[in-house]
Amino acid sequence: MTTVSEIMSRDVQTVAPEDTLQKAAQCLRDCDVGSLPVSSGTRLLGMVTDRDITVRAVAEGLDPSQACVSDVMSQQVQSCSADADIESVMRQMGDAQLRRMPVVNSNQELVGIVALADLALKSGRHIDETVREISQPN
Amino acid sequence: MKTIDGQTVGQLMTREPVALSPHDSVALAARLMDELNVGALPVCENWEVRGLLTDRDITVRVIAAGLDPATTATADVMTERVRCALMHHSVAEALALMGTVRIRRLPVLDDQQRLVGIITLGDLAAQAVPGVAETLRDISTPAAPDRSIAPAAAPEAALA
Repeated sequence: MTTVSEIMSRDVQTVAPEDTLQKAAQCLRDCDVGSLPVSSGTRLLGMVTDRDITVRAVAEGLDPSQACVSDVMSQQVQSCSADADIESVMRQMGDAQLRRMPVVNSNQELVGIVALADLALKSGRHIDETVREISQPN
Repeated sequence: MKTIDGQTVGQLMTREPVALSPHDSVALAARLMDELNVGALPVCENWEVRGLLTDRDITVRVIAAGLDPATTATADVMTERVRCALMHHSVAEALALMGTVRIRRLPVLDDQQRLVGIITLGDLAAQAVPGVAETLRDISTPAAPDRSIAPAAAPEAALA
């Protein structure tokens, strides 16, 4: 069994709920990722994505230099445990149509992030089913 | 897996695509992406593709840069020189192109180079097309996508 801790990234860039959307957008750009965990200290509060900023802020006419991450982030986020089996995590990511998922410890503290790219590159297992689920139109 | 011999991009693509004008504001583009539940829209003049605008472009080229979405035109921040599939391309050709340019969503052109549809990795995955997993692996490999901004030019009909 391969566990999430074997393939996850431990050095996780996060944003704070009070950060402006402009700052979050700069982090998404500079980290070259499409989603970032939102945390207060080590506590995971949510996730914010390119898409959240586009459809919840820009489409709604919010000012990105004033509106903050907590205004647009998703709060009910999927996460997994570092000792979870990657096969179950792949199913979970497929069901939730996620490409990046935060990893938490038993205290719900953020300890890493796992990406579909990590699974594809390091697991050496079939990801066809996950791919198909993630790629389905909603 | 079912056989897909002979299937073309034209048979699997989504028709009647919604396109932006180069003069449309980024704010309008964001509203359309929200309503249509898509992450990318082609930018066209007379159905000739001038570029592609994604939710990623809006985040990194408009919001991160401090531009005002209401007064920024799509033409100023879109990705130009968009790679396009052709209707008669095979599924294998479309997959190869998606893997090469690391894009999940390609505009589809007819023989007159006019936009007639959109083909996505999801369209191909829904058909249980062999090769999808390999393409996703290519797309997901950490590297900058091949969406370099270049001087405006006619869209490339790759694999022509």
